[in-house]
Amino acid sequence: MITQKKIKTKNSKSPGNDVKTQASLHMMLLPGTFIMILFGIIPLYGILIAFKAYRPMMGVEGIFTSSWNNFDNFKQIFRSSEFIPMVRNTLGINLLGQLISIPATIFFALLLNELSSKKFRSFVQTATFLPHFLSWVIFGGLCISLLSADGGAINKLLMMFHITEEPIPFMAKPQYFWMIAILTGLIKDIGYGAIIYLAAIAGVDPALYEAASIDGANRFRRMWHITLPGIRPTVMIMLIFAVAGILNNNFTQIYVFQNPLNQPASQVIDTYVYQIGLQKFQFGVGTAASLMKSVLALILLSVSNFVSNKLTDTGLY
Amino acid sequence: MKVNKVIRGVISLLLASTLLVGCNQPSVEENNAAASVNESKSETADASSGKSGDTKVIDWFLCASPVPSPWNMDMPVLAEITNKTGVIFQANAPAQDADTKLNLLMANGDLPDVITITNQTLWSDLIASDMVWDIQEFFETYMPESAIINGQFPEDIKKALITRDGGWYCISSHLQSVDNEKIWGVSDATKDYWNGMKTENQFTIAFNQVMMEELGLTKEDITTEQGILDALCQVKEAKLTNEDGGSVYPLMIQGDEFVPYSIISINNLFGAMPVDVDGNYQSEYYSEQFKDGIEFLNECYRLGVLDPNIMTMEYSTVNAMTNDDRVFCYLGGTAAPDINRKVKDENGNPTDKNVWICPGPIEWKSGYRPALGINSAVYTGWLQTFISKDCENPEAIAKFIDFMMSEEGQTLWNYGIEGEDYFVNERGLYERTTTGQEKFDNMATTGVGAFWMVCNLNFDRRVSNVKTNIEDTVAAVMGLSSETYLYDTIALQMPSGYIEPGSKYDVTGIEVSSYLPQQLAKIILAESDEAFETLYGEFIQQLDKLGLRELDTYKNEMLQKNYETYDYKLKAINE
Repeated sequence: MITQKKIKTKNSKSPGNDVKTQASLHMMLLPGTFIMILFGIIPLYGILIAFKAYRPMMGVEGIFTSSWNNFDNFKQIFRSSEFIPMVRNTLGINLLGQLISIPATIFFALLLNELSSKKFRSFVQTATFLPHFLSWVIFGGLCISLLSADGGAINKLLMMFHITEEPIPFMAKPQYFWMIAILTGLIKDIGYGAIIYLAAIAGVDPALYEAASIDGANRFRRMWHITLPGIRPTVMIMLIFAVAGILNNNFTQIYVFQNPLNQPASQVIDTYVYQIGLQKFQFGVGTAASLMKSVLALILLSVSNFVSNKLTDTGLY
Repeated sequence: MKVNKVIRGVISLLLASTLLVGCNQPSVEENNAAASVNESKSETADASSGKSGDTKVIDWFLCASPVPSPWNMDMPVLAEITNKTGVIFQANAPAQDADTKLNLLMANGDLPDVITITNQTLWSDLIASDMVWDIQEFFETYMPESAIINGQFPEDIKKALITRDGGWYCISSHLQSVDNEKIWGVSDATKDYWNGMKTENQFTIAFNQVMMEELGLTKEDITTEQGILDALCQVKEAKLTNEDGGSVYPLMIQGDEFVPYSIISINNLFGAMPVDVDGNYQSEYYSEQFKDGIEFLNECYRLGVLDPNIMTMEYSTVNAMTNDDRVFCYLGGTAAPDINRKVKDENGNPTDKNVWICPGPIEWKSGYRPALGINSAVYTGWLQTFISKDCENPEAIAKFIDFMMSEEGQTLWNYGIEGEDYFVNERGLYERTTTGQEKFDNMATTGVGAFWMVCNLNFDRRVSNVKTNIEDTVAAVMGLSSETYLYDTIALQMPSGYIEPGSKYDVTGIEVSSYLPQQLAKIILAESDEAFETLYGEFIQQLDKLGLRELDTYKNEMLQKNYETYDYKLKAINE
C-alpha cells in the first residue's frame, strides 16, 4: 500500500509569510502611506464643516463646537442661481474633453510607436512632454497672450490667411471657452498621457506583430487588430479614472482663463467652491460642494469599475 | 539575495528620512525672507554704531499698502525708521485674495503680529473672537507715554470707531476729521483747495487733455453725451498710438473690476441713487438712471469704441495702460492710476498742465443730473489696523506705531529726508525734489509714501504743496459744480452686523455680487436694442429671483429709523 504523505507547502496567502518575505517592499510603501494618512485621512474630520454653521474665527476647535445646521449648506448650493450653469459647465468640459483627449492621446501614442527613427521619436516625446512641467499660470498666460485680440499671434495668423477680417476676442466670448479649455489641456498633457499608452504598447508581444506581418497585415491593420486590443486594459483603467473624475476640473487652468465675460461658460464646481467657500468665507458651503463631488465620484468610480469588469474583465479592483 | 534585501531596506529608510526632513524645510521664499531679515538685522547693528543693535521684527499682514518687502536697509527712509524705532517691518502683503488668506490664518489660530484689512466681516470676526487688543489698553500696557492715547488720536474718530465696533480696536488710516484738523492745523496757502476737496469723489470720468488737443477737441466738446460719443469715434478713427507704438483705447473702464468701480462712476454721473422718489431704499440697479448708464456703455460698444477685452484685463494692466498714455477716456476710480500727473516738457520736466481733465456734469440725452453721495459722518478710514493679542514684540509694535503717527514719522515716511528728498518752500509747504519724486514713484522699493495704514490726511493737507487749481483736480470737479446734486449718505449706513453672516440676506448679497459682473458684461455687449432690452429684462427678473427686493425692504427698515435719528430724508433726484 502506498501512502501519500501530505506534503506541507508554504501557504502564500498567509499574512505572516507575506510580511516576512516582502518586508522591504512594505518599508518602501511606508512613507507614502504615512503621508497619505497624515494629510489625507486624518484631516477628514473637517468634513463636519459641511453640516455646521462654521466660521473661521472659531479656529480648529470650531469644527467640533460650532452648531449643526443640518443640510443648509447643501440647500444653499442647490438653490444658487449658479448651480445649473456650474454643473453644466463641469460636465460639459469634462465629457467633451475626455471624448476628445482620450482618443487623441491614444492615436498620438500609436503614431509615436510607429516612428522608426529613435532620435526623432525621443525629440517628439520630449517636446510634447515638456509643457506638462509648466505651471498653468505660465502656460495659461502664454495661451491668453496668443489668443489676445490685441496683437495675439492666433488672430494675426487668422487675419493673414483671411479666415477672419476682424480679430476674434476668444477670451471675451463664452462660446469659445470650452474649446479653449479642452484644447489647451490637450496640448499641455498629450505627451504625459501618451507615456502611459506607450508603456502599455511596449508590453504587447512582438511575436504577434511578426505573425501579422507574415499574414500580410499592413501597419494600420496591425495597429487595429493587435496594438489596440493589447492596450485595452490600460485604456479601460484610464476610462474608469476619467469617469470617476467627471466632476473634477483642473482648477488652476479654469481660474487662469476665467473672467467676467466668459464666466457663464467657465464657472465650474471648483471655481464656485473657491469663490464662495474661500473668497466669501462660506467654508461650510465650500466643504459641502466638495463633499458632494467626492461622494458622486465614489459612486461613479464603483459603477464604472463594475461595468468595466463585466464588459472587459478589466478593472481597478 | 540577503545582501539585496539589506540594500533595499537601507534605501527605504533613506527615502523615508529624506521625506520627513523635506517636510520640515522652510520654503525657498521663507529662507530668502529670513536671510534678508538676518542681513538687515546685522546691517542695523552695523549702521547704528554705539547702539546695541537690538532690533525686533514685526510680522505685519497687509491687504493694501506697497510697503517694501523684504525690508531693505539700503533705503535711507527704511534705515531711518529702523534707527528710530528699532523695528524691522516684515510685510506680508498677498498680491491677491488677502482676505481669504487671512481667513485661513484665523482658522489656524496663526495670526500675524499686526493686521491691516478693509473687510468689515473679517474685522468683526477678529473683534468677536477676542483675538485683538483694545488700542487704549494696549498702549497703556506697553507704552503709557504714547501720544496716541494722550491726545494725538482724534476723539471724534475714536468715538466713531467705538460706535462702529463696540470698542476702540483699531488704528484707522487716512485720518481726517474736525478734531484731527484742530490737532494738525491747516495751511493758509492751501486752505481753499482743501475746502474744495471736501466734496471730491474719485469715481468719475476723465479725458486725456493732450490727446484732445491733438484731435482739435476742447472741453466744451465733451460736455454732452453726443459730444463724448463723437470724440470717442474720432479717437477710434484717428488710430492714435503712444510713444512706444501701443494703440490708444478710446474708452477704458476698470478691467475685470469694472463691477463695482466703473459702475459706481456710472451711478454718480447718471444720478442713480440708492433710494426711490419716495425716500425708500432701492438698489441702484432698479433705477432708470442706472439703465441709462449701462445703455451708454452699450452704445459705446456698438460704435466700436469700447473694446470688450478690457473687461478681461486685470486692474494693474488697466492702470499701467492709463499711465502709459494708451487711454483717451477713463471711466472708473481715479485714485489708482496717476490721474493728477502733469504734462512733461521736451526735457521731461513736469509743467503746470494736467494730462487728465474732468469736464464736469455731462448733459445726458435723458437729462439726468449727476448725484454724489457725501458722508457727513466722521470718516472711519479705509485701512483698519489691529494688533494681535499673540504678538511677539508688543513694546516694539507700540513704539513703531507711535513713531509713524508722530509728525516726525509722518514727514519721514511721506516725504523722506529733508534736503535730499524734499525741502520746505517759501509758503512753508513741503515740496519734493526730483530725487524725492522718483523715490515716491517707486514707493514699493524705497518706502517713501508706502505706509498707507498710518496715513494722516490732515497732516498731509497741512504740509503738501498743491500745484493744481481745485477746478482742475479731476476728483473734485463734479462735486464743485452746482449742477451736481450732493446728498448726505449718513442715513444709508447700516450698523455693523445688521446683515448677519450666513443669513438669507447675506446669501442674497453674495449671490447678487457673483451675478452682477457676468450679466452686466452680457448687457453691455448686446448687439442690438432688442437684445439689450431682453437681457436687461432678464437681469431685473433674476435680481428679483435672488431676493434683492426683500433685501432692499430689510435695509429700508433701518433707513427709515435713520431718517428719524438724523432728522432728514433722501429722495431720488432724477425721476
